[in-house]
Amino acid sequence: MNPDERTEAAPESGDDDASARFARFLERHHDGGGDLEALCAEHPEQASRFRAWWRLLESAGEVRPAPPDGQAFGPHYTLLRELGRGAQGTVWLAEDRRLRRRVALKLLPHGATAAPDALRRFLREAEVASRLEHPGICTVFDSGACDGQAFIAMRFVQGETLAARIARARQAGSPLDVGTLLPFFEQAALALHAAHEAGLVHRDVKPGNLMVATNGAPVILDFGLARYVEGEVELTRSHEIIGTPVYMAPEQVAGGKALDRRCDVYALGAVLFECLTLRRPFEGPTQEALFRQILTASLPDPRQWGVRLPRDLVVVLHTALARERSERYATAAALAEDLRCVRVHAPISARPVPRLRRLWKWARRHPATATSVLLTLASLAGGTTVSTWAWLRERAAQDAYRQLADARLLREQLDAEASLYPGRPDRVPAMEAWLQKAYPLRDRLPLHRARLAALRGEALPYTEEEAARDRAQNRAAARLGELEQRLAQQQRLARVARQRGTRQVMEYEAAATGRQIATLRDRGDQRLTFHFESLEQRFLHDELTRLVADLEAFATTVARVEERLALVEETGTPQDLEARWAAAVAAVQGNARYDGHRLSRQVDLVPLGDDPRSGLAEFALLGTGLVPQRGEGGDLACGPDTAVVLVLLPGGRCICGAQADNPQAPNYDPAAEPMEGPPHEFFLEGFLMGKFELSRAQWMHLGGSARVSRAVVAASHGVDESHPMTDVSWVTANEVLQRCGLQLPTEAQWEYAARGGSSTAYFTGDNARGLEGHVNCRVRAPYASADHYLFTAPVASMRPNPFGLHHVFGNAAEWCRDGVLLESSDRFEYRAGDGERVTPGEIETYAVRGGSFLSLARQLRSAARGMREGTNRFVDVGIRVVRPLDWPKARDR
Amino acid sequence: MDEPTRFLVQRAQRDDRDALATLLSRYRARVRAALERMLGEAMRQGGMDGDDAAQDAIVAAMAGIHAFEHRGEGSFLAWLLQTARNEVRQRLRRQHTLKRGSNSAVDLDAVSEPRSAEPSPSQVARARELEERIEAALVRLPAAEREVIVLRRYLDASFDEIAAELELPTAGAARALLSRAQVRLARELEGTPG
Repeated sequence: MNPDERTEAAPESGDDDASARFARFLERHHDGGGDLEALCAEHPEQASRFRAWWRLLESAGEVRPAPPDGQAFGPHYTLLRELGRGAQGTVWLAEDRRLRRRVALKLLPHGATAAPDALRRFLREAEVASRLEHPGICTVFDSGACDGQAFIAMRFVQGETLAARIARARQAGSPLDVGTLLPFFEQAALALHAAHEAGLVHRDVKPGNLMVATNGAPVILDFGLARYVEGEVELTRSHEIIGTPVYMAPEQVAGGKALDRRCDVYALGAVLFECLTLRRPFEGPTQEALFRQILTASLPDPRQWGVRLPRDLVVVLHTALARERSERYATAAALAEDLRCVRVHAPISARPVPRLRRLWKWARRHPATATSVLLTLASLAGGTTVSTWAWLRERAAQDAYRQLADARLLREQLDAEASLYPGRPDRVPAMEAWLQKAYPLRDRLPLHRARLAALRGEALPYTEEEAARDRAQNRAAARLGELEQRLAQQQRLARVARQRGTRQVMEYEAAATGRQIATLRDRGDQRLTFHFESLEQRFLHDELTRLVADLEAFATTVARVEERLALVEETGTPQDLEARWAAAVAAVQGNARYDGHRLSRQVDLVPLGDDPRSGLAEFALLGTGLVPQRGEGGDLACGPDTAVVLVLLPGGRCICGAQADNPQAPNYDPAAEPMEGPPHEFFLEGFLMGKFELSRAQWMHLGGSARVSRAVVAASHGVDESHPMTDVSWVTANEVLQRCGLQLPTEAQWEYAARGGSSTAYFTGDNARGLEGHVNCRVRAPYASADHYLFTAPVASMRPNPFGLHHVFGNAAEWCRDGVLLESSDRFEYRAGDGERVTPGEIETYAVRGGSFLSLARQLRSAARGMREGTNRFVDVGIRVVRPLDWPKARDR
Repeated sequence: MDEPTRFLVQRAQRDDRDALATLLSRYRARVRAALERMLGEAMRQGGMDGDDAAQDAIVAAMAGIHAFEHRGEGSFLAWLLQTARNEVRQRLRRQHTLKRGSNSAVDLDAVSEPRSAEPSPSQVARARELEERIEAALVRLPAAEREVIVLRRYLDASFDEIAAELELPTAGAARALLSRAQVRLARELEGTPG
């Protein structure tokens, strides 16, 4: 007691000691201890005082009239010791003297006893429960009221509650054993089923109500109390909601529906989930948030926490915890049966819901979700009689619903979008369905923005320190500093390069950096920190901020799907596809170049016939543009909208690399550099490779972002969509290609293709002069007098190599799949089939081949290698795609 | 953790409707149950539907939230219960005035009574008297002590909840405060012999 309060509390001095002593005793009493007689014995001079106070408080109902151990209760019970204490009263171990058996005696708090209706209902329930005879249910022997105190005498179960088990497991950090849990929950479900059949719903199944008896079997406690609790003492019910709503079924949370046995199925499922993962299925920072989770969130996947469960068990959990009770197990017995099946590895009855169906179902459920959220918020916010609050409830419910629903819908839409690449005729219905869902979502962006702005209006004032911190922490600001440094460096290098008359790449890089800086400057002063008085506001603000940012990005995603859809619809599928394929399969089989390989029909390719010059079969990739036609000379008529054209390369033996040591050995080239050798012999399987470098238009059709290249496009006169996509990092290129079933070539594949069967320094021979008309490179005369390009050239321009590939040298350099370590080529192993180099550890630099519009002649040699950082973008590096081919393995050659 | 009641109340006093709704959702069930326990019998005698009457009273109390002063030790919950209870009593009185002369007169004295199981008339009288003495004694307690008893007695709050409600550091502090309050209550009751 602090001195102030003491002064306030004790007008009559001399009573201070007694008051303080008695207060300390009361404290112990409230903590479950405190022995009045001991206190009186200790201070005999104040004993009468203490007894008088105690009687007064006892009659006022302020203290428990706690019977001391060994005291008789009623006509035939002897209280032995207290077993536990909770909101619903105190449980004692007692002896029934008539039958000489031990019972658990539950004494209700006298607050509950005070209401006759409650007592009557309680006794009726106890009576129903007492008729339940099942080993898994704690039998009620007797109930009634005695000296104004209501009691229930029930079977005394030795063991511990599942709640205690879970708490121990949590402390140990290891989940409970699945092998033990399965039979336990199977029996618990059967016990529940027995109660359900007797017309009793528990409604409050939770770990604290599930005993693990000493033999390991479950015993369900507190049957009938749940209804009593819910029916009368709202007080206790509100405790319950604060304490254990995590196990409540959605319909229980939402209210408004008569509860049936399926709410117990749900709760048992939730408890099983917790036992298996040591996490509750749904959690939330506030009660409202938790309710929203229960009503709207999908069940988390236990695997995300590293918990490995049998697949069937996960399905059982999903079925038991289905939000719609019609999708749950109809009975606890059905749940028990499936748990048994999981245990004995038999097929279960429940079926997993496929992902797409789930999405569709969720969308269909919108109105239901809206209603239940509304109902819940309504019941939280004031029930049906508060008509003046109706508008408020409605508004809050709608906002919360819209926000939650949209965040979730957005995630699902983004997931779904990933499967729509590239656009193909067979994907049109899916794309259309996707857009139908995407439009309303996208169009709600202004609404969310407005709400975010309103919310930010309620933020606490922006302090100077916060502003300073924001400026410091602003990612744009940090990036700005970085970019300014980079720009200075690039300008310096560019100056040096100009003086030496060499690489101009730095000029382009510097220009691009300058533009990035200008964009970022505008964002430097943004306010990032918003503080709020309430946690709820903060939570809402975080959610909304994320949602708005995601929706802003989503507009681009929608536009891209629209573009792809339009493209598919414009280009369509050639009428004569069947005939083309029949011809193509036959032609490949009859083509000596393919060594008898058989090509099976590919769903996304359109055969274009053989290139008359190379004699190799060519195909267009559907969904990436218009299918080109062959002109009179056999050349493909290509424009900015042409689809990706792939050449079927037969593979086979190929020696890659070059050496300057031995004129008699393969691939001798006096200009060879050490990192190009020693030459290595590969046996490659056939594959499809881009006839052209990937154009800017095609890159966008494959789902790449066009924004990346805008700076460069603006910087370089004459560059349009038919030019190669550059300024894209290795990492991004891989991401986009993988989604479309494409790859970057391995260095071996690239060099094999670039050589076109040659083993000389250039594919045209050992003299660079032969490249004239084939390459767009930096040195014009005398090799490339036809080159009038300052930057890149359209991908389909100039003359191809012997395999019919354009611009393998010059124009844009090309990323390869392999990482580069500066070691001799024979230090590595190469994967069979595509010759991918096996490189140990983490690689940051990747091979770049073929040189670019900036390259000198020596860099255009077939074996010449470059290397760049995979995370950076370069204005002179682009992409040539490879599509792996599933065809019979190459024979020994 | 939930947003502290204090902040919600401050916001609500600035007419922030979301805050009002949150407060209402947080306390409605509990105050309604406490009202039912304290005045249920009287409401039924007065021909009111207990649920609706309690509901209306809570909303009316909320409407007067500007009158609540958060002095740092005060409990919003206790204030809410008190105000709502007064509201119910006023309504009962009004109803009583309207119905005066008819046969269904309300026993206004029953208004503050808790009910006991199967009470006999003399039990009822004794209980009513005790309750009156307790209320009279509570009025004389310092605010924080009165509130801790109200929270425990009528709202059945746990010590953790009391600590949160009265912004005490721990449940132990709540227990200590309740114990001190009860000693003083006992001494007050001692001083008003029944």
